[in-house]
Amino acid sequence: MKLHFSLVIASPEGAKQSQKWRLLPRHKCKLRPPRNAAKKSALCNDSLTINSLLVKLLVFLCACALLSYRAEADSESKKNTVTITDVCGYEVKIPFPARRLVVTNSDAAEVLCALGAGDRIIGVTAHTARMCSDLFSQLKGKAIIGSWQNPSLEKIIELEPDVVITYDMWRPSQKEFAEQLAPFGISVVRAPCYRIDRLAEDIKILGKIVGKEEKAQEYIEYYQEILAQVQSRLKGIKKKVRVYGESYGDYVAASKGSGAYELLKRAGVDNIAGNQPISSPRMAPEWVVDKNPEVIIKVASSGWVRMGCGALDREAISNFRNRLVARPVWDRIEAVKNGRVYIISAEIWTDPRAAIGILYAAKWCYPELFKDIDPEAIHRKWLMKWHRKELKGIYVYPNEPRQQSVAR
Amino acid sequence: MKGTTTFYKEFVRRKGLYIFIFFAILLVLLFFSINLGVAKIKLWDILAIIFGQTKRPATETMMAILVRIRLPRIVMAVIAGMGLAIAGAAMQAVLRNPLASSYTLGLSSAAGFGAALAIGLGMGVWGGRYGQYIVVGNAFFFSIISMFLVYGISRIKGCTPGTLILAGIAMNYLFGALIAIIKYIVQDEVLAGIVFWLMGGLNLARWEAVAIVLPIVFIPSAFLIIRYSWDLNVMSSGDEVATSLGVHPERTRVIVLVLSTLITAGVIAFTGIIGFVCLVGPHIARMLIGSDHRFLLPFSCLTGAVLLLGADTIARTIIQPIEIPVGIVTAFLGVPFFLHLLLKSRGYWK
Amino acid sequence: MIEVKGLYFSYKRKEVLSSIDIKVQDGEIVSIIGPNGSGKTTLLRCINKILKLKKGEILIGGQGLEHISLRKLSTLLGYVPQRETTSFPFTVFEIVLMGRRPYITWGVTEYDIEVVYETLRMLDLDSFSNRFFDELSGGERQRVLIARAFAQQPKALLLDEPTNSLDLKHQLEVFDIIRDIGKKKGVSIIYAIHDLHLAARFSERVIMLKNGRIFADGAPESVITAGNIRDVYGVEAYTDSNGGSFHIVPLRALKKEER
Repeated sequence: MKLHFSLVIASPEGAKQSQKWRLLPRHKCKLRPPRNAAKKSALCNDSLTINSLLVKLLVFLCACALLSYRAEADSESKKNTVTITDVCGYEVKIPFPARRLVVTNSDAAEVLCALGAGDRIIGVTAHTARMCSDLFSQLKGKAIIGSWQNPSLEKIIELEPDVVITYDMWRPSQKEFAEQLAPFGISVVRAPCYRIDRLAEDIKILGKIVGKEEKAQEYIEYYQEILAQVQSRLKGIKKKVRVYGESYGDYVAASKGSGAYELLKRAGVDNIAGNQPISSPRMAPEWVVDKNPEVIIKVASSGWVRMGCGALDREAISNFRNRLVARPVWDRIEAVKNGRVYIISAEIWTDPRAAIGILYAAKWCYPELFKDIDPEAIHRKWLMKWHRKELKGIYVYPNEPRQQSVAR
Repeated sequence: MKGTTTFYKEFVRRKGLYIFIFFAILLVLLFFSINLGVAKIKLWDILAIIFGQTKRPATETMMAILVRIRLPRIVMAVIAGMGLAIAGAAMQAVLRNPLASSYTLGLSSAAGFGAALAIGLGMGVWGGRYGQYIVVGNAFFFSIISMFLVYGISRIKGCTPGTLILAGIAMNYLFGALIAIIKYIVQDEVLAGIVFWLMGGLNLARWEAVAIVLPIVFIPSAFLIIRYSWDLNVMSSGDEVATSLGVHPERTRVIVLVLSTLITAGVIAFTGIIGFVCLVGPHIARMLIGSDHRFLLPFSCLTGAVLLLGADTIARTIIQPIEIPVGIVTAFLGVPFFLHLLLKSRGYWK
Repeated sequence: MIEVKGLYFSYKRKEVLSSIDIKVQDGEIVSIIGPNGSGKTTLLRCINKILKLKKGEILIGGQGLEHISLRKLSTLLGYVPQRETTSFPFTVFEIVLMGRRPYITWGVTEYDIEVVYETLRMLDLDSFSNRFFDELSGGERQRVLIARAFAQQPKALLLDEPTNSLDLKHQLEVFDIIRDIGKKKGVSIIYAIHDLHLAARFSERVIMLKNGRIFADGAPESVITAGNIRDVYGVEAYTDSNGGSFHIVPLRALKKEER
């Protein structure tokens, strides 16, 4: 109890120091000495301090939440269970702390690995095992329980997990899925972890389940600091940049209700599909040309190109982008004319690492505001801090447009 | 004697009139569809572009949208509608079955499987620049394979129309199941690509695709109309009668099916599964103009083109800038018209 | 002239026709009779090249069937099936016009239309010409099919039980028409037929088949005898021919041991 209070009390002092970026690693500063070196070196303090008002508020709220939970946990400590209300509003009682987890949701698996609970995961989907094994080696060799759409109930029951963590919607129908597992003493918790507006809540729930609330809190603060930094930088913008964000499908726009819409909103852009009434609609090709976006951000669809962790074939990605800009009349779109068409891996877009994606998007749209910020370096640091992994693979393309133009 | 001769001429003239009317409808529709769209291109500008006048110069972008996005799509809709409908008419005649279409012969699901397999295996990734064409080619390849499977299976039992249809439906289920497997095992992003392909649509039509589809549709169609019209007429009276009238029924069936498959596969490889036109287009034509294939085949081309172009124009404009899948519109447009004709027309499937 | 020499035919292992020898002169009217499964229809189909012969040969106008293209054959032989359903609606005129298919490439000439019209008139069908085939009665349909066969302007007409589904009046009518037109145009006519009365009445010659072999061949009175009916059909019958009319009175079916 004291610990949490002290955290809240401690935070304002740290926050007073600066509202500047503070996640840049030290060696980066050395490599590219900024104009105000003195200021920078102060920023390059590795100790994590909590800065913005928003974060303070959140931390306070979290602390309150933790306190209330603690009280509850204490009262139930004999039974060693904890009751959780997940995003769908279901109250779930699970053993505390959960030691055996089945995760059908790769995003939640990533968060659990970051929280240091990866070794408690005993079953994952085939997709998670395939996609994440490079990055999250803890997940290698785990039991495969099918796909997220159709997990095998028998396999899950056989694994005897304490809890199953799933997406919030889609198949399997949440209620039935939980009801089928309930007789076997297996609880189901929904923690989607792919929507930025609910990410903190999901992380908190996961932290609670595995008894790593402090770590979860740190993780939340870590990404929210990036977001806060983006917000503070964006204060200066006068005119929003027109952006066309495209999902996996051709001409499928990131409109209201989609995860990508939230990301673009946080990157402070004028999303040209922002007021379309349907989530992820297929747009008329001539509409994109007619709207003439200044920046185009396309999520790489793995059916056509491989990006993200372990993807090193730059030529394939370049071909993918070439095909994209070769769409009819795209040569007349400003974004294409000015070379501002970017491909981004889904791993840093609708994912726990979405903050990185937002940072990239913001930098692409407002390069002059983010001159001194290197999203890749921040991403590298993120991976090192939370997953003890080097950044390997192409996550965005083209990377560092400025350097390219210099090279030319 | 003169009476009947003039009667028959009158009869033919009426068919000619129908063809003319639908041709006019198609022209009007073309005119409208060129005018309609997200980008507001004024009629005068279009005319200025067409007649090369510079008095009212459209902006270059508008002109580019018109010429490189809207026109290829419209042309593709016309060609695809023509191809699907004429192929449907020929298949129905040669199999003596009003339900014969790219669906019932398993062509659609085979093409779908081909595309899904290519996308699922990452041909789009490994194929590099040609990825898209590998997907298209695979769709084409598998629908041809399916046709040969269907034919081979029914050949064992004597290649009657009934066994062909049954074998086709069996293939339809088989490839449907294979598509389901692929959809089941691939990742979400890949799934999205496959689902979009299967839904079908013309919004990715480009001149390059038009240039490929045009000969695939027109050359076999010309063959069907010129060489096989009479044979198809005769085939509808059954194999024995066809033989006695000088037509090799099995040989004709195979050739006509191959030509129709070529057309259908060529179209759906580029447009995805939009098979409804294949079934309904010929029936609408037949109810209006009769079963003489010399007139029915060209007229099916027109009904198919009108149906698909009309549907696609609605699909891309009704809640613009959002597009709805063209299959939805073809069904909503085609089914009421089809049922109306079915209930009203004299002597059709009594 | 149609000549069948030593014809042998079998479906899989089952022998259907063997050692058939027939010669039909131009303008001759021949009936082929015999019980079910005796090979009547198969014989017609062999002559018409619908079925491929296994052994023996068939000559039409002195030329072997295998040397005659299907299209050429269709100008020599007309064929009328037992019954026919079209899969899609055709008008009577269109159906009869199909008989011109052997002569047409794509366009229809004035002459074709005249031939069709003349045929329709001969069969008293001109008032039906714009009706749909499917809407007609059985007798009318059969007349349309006969009209189509005549529109082929063949040298010979093959009819497979042409009046099976017709009532008495229509049966007589159809046979009268076929005989009259056949005589007028000098067309040989070969019927496969069940009704012994009609066979006797409308043909000059009757060929009786039993188990795929010719049992008897000759003038109606000499073939359709009580003895032959007993041997081929297993029916005890009484026949009587006097004053140009010919009567067959079947009495009873014989039991197996009586044969």
